[in-house]
Amino acid sequence: MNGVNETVLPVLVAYTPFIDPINAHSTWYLLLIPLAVGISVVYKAVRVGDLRYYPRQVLAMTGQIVGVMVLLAVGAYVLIQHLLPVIFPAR
Amino acid sequence: MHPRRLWVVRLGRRVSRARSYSYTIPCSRPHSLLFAMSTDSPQSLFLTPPSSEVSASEHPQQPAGPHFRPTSLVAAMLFPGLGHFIAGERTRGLLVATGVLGLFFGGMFIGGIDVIDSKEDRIWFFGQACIGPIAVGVDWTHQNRFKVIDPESKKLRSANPDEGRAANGLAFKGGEPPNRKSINKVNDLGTLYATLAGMMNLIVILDAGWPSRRRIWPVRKPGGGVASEPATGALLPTSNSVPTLSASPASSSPASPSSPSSTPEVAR
Repeated sequence: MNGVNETVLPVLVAYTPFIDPINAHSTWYLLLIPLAVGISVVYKAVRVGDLRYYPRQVLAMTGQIVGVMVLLAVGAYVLIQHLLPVIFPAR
Repeated sequence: MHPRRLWVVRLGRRVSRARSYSYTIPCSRPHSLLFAMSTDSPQSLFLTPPSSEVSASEHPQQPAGPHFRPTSLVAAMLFPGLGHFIAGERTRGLLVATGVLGLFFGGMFIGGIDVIDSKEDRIWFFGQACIGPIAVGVDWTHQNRFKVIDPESKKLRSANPDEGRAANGLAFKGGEPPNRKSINKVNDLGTLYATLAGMMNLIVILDAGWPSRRRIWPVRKPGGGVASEPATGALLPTSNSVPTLSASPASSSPASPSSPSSTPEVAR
């Protein structure tokens, strides 16, 4: 048995959905999209009057949430990586 | 008057006018859509809306106006979406249940049962508990079936990776832990999912008890076309409470649709 199986198999065997966490440490940011979808699904279910427009409203709100999160991330990156070193240069 | 002061005064008038015009529905002629119904005299003014523009399945005929629904409130506390379901808004209830339970169990799928923990993450559990008995049950299971009793302090805690759980709940070295603790971003996201589910369900509970007016899109242009989805759509009374509209537009009410002064501010 090669080294990969020796290390991976025990972990896979021990995994129980909803009891053990998933291994998403490298792709955690992708989980923000279903989070935005879930929030939109619930909020728009309460808010939209005519449910014919519900799917479109959910998509729009999901896009807004994800878009704002991306903008905030870009803003934080620019601020921390580029602006703050200029404003407060390292001594 | 100072321009800013004038703007504030105009805004105040708009708000008071919007309050007096309780409900509007979209139509080719927005001015003809306005019908006011006060809680004092719910039968005061009736109009017949174009039947094609209001989905009858989602808007069963009921007396209009936000009113307290105690049964729906209690039902919504017991199970997500049940309040709307028993109030006749079945599709809405199913959508709510799908969203709330999807978020809650999505959080558990990501972070494991460790994300529901009233002892170690108490603040977060306050939000998660808004799901209702489901969250309390999951937490009870976590505390009593997955946590171990520390042999020294006799307190409940999560098992370490090299500890097992005996039948009496005591931790012992060298066994398999009942569950693995989630750490780092995975734990953060799982906790966030479950807590947001509870927070969203709080909105749903309030809406089930005290139904709000719904927005409907799109608003029709005065010329007959359909305007692109506006930021603020027309307001509709609670989806299951479109007024019973008869064909007597009555007329002489100050909010009469034929009156030029009854501009539907809300629909703009």
